Amino acid sequence: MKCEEIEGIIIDYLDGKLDPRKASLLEKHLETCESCLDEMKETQEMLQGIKVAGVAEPDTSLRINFYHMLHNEIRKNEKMTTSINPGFRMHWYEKTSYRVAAGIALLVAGTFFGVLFNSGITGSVQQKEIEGLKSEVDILRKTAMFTMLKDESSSGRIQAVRYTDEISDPDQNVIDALVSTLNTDRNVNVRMAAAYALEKFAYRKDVSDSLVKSLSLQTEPILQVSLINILAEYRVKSALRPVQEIIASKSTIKEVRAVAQNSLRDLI
Amino acid sequence: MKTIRTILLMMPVLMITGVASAQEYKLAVQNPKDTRLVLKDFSGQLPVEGYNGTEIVITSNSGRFEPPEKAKGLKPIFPGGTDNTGIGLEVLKSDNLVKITCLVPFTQDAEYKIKVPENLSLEMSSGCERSNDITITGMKNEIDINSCHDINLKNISGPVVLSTISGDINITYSSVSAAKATSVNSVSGDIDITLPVKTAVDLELRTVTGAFYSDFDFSQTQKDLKRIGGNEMNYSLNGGGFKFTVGTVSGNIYLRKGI
Repeated sequence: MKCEEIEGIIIDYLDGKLDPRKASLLEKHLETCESCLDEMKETQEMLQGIKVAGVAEPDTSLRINFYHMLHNEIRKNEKMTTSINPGFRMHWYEKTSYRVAAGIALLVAGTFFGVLFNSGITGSVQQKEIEGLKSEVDILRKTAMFTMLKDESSSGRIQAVRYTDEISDPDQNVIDALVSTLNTDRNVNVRMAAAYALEKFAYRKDVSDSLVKSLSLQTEPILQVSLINILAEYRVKSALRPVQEIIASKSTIKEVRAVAQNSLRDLI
Repeated sequence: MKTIRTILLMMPVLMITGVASAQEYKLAVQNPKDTRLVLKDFSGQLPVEGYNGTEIVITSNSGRFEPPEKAKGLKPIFPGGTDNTGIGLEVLKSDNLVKITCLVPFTQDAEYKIKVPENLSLEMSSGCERSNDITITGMKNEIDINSCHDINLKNISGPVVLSTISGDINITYSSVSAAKATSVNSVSGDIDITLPVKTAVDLELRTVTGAFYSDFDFSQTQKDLKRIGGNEMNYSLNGGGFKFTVGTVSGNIYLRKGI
């Protein structure tokens, strides 16, 4: 195996997606080639960095892109009446998410090196490259904005959320996008759809934690009721405090208070 | 005799004033199908009617937007924006969006009637202190409403996203053309839906303390999921199709067979 080949498959290898035969060839190569080993370590660090950054609230562009992708996928789905193999379903998503992640990483790295070069050695070439990258990101953002304008429709956004019904084992980006929708979408029906989409994964601690957190943020009665019901059903004990706060709050309407009181027996 | 003559002479003037008191504002829409109309902060009864045309026509039934004599040379100032229609409304227009905000404070009456191209999509939202019962007829595209009171939709065919707090929701479909996600929620109101009998739909019904009534045939029902303090039911009609979510807390859900 040659060094150029390694470069192309290193990410897949680190993600455990490389077929075992290729993986063992790569490992053999790494034993002898120090530059490739360095390359791998760097990539690993970068991916780690992306993952750490990704735990934070996904920024709007990511969410928009998520909708964009879902939208496209729905269209594709409508066209193809035959079933799509599950591997393909996950593939499109990950690929695009990598593009976004890599874009962000490059921008961050680019800016970093740009500052570095500018401080001492002048680097007009780097500067140009950075400008180019920036404009590319801008184009990406613009495209995403146009997509969002198309998805001004609440019905479309509900459709996008409902698409996650088909994903049995969503990755962190999907969960994050759903949580972000639950907490920030301007339409209450869309937020409800996100709550029920997350319900299926409420056995995961990170998901139930997000639902508990969201309960204290929501002010719409119908959404409070939905979240309380979901959390009571999964007996998420950490929901007790926000539920008690809702019962105590003067602004809570009587229907919500009744549901909250009823849920106490499952939460205590 | 003289008085009668004066009255007779005055008649046309009185009639003209009468007509003028129902003021009208018109706005042409180039591409209704891709246009989103946002109606914000309207108070009072607000009938919206879809028709086969390309103009938004708003009629104000109160004649009080005629400025008084003293206001000559002055412009009416509203806290929420600038009246650019002469009837207490602010209209903003961009490529695919028309946003109409009612500037009249909710403490004052302002009755409007709105006729819109039937195939544009409609979005309405108002604060709870403002909104009144909403009635919409003959629309063919998406309807998105956030309200606190009753919502009545008649002879519609597009996707619907509704949420209300203490109001009933009544929907009568003429046909179901767009197979897009539909979601209808009320806290304490009843939800009453008439669906064409052949609609292919996946229904998801949730109620906490309410009940569910229908004349559709649910004999081949799917499993009935019991939820703590309430029910969630999933049914497919005519083989299943678009996603239709209906939720109430204390209201009942009525699902009726249409034509």
